[in-house]
Amino acid sequence: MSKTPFFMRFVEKQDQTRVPADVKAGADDGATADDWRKALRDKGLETMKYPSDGDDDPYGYEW
Amino acid sequence: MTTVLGLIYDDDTRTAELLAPALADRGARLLCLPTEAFPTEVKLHAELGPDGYRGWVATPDGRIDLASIDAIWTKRVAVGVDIPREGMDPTVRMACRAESEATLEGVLAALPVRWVNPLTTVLSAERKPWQLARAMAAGLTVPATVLTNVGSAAVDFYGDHRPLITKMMSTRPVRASSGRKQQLGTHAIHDDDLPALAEGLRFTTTTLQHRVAKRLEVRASVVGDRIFASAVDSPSMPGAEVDWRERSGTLMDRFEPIDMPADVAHKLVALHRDLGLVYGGADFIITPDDEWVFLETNPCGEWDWIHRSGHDVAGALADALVGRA
Repeated sequence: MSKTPFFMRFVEKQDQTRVPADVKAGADDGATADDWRKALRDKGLETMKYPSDGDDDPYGYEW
Repeated sequence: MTTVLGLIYDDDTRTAELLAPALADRGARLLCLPTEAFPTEVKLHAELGPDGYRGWVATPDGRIDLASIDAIWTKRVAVGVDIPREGMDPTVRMACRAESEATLEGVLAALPVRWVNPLTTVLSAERKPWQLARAMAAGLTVPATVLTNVGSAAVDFYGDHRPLITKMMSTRPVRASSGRKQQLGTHAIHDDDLPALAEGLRFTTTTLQHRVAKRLEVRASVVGDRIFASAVDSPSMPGAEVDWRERSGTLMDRFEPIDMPADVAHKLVALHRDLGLVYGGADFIITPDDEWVFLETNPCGEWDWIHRSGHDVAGALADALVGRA
């Protein structure tokens, strides 16, 4: 029986179809919120960084 | 002057920068507490007495007497993120975070202040299965949904309710084989996914929903009994047909205000009251038949782009925080 959780199928698919989600607001020399989104579009990039609930390991579950 | 303490994390300054002037217009000030910097930089001293906790909290904005706090804005809480990993046993680090979180949240919860939203209700309201049940009870239209770790039953549901999507009930980022971490969005399920569906629920559950036909997607910022809704034509954007966030960088600027039908609005307000929330960022799909289908509400959901689309969400939040709502 598989040890790979069902959702991992879509993690891999999502990872292949989108840009790195490590571009954060203000990454471009302190750009404004509007600027960072424009910077992504100018680079032809999109981010899945839906700023709703989660972020990079905010609760420290990953050692 | 009315003092509002803002519990924020990382780039929540986007919304804080909108809220602060709205509060100032109402004679109030916003002092932000970056929760990731507690306890490393932000300090707390609280002594229990017959009238509750006395003491102070020191943030980058200055030192705040606990007694001077009139309201708390809960944007996001991520206590202890800045505690370093290097040179610290992981269990020790986790214990430091857990202890700091329990202390800060517990002390603040004991203060006699207005909350948007109360910390205690955020944790429960973020349980999306509960939301869906309460939304249905409130009379909102909700997609056919199953939550299961029984592979055969999941496959049967696919047969009965396809086309389907799958989504997560939690928001933990996951590391792909590339090494990149990301939050999983909503994805369509197809026939070739069925073997993995049947076998891949040994260590997790899955949430499957009927894939609702989509004309527009809506984010509605709910503040008390006020609703600020904006919609985007996500189906016309390649790559965003299933989840608009796949192209959020572009679509965020294309949201436009939309009027929510009165009956839907009434039910949405009732739902938030039922969940104990003053604020919620609610997501809907509008079908080609103009039916509003509820997906979820986010107690700490973003609202800056809805505000910028032409609504005064910041003003409504400020009213709630200063006690005018």
